[in-house]
Amino acid sequence: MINHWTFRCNDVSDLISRSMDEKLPLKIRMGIKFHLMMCHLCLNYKNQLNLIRKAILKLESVEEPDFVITRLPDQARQKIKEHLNKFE
Amino acid sequence: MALEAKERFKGTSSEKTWLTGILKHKIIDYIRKKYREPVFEDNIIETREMHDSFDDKGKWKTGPQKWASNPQHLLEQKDFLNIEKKCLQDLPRRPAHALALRELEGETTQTICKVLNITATNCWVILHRARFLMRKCIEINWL
Repeated sequence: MINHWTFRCNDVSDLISRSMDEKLPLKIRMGIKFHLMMCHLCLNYKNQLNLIRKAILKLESVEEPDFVITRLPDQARQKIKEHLNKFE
Repeated sequence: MALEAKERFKGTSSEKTWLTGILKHKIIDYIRKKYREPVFEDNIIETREMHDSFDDKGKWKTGPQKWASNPQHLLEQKDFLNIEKKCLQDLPRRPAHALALRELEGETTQTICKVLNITATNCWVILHRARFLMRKCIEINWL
């Protein structure tokens, strides 16, 4: 495994995405933070991914809400429903 | 086969590059045959796209440029949202589905893996790829 103090931009771009889906271990988060203090390109990357996330949600509320949802396969939608039903 | 092809080969590269080229194609063919699942085809492309954005030390070649001084302002702009929409629609199928499940449905990666029938690792890769492509697409169309 790579030393978390010496993350490179390609590692960090991957980890930034992961951090949007799951809480990463403290060491990794520190490593990302450390890298971002010195690398404005990765900082731009991180800010832009956050903006993209917000914009996707905005699309859903402003635009036709169905345009992305309909792209999901029926099977996938069915599985999600089944999954959710388990918790009801 | 290789010798026949050599006839057609115009001699623009050395014999070594020519043979390396054949070898690469053989490897890609092998992988294609081994993994018929489209997700692996996706992964081959993914590696190339991301790999091309970084130099051999893992640094951005031409990194992400600043889009606007006030990001909140971008979210209010119809043009920006239209580009976002277009880029989302242009994503390859599986990354698009993964991203929609994650961002619109708020699904966890565990669920996404199950729904799209992929491994956890591929789930990370696909979401990473989806965001990577979205960002690039928006940058190309917006700036």
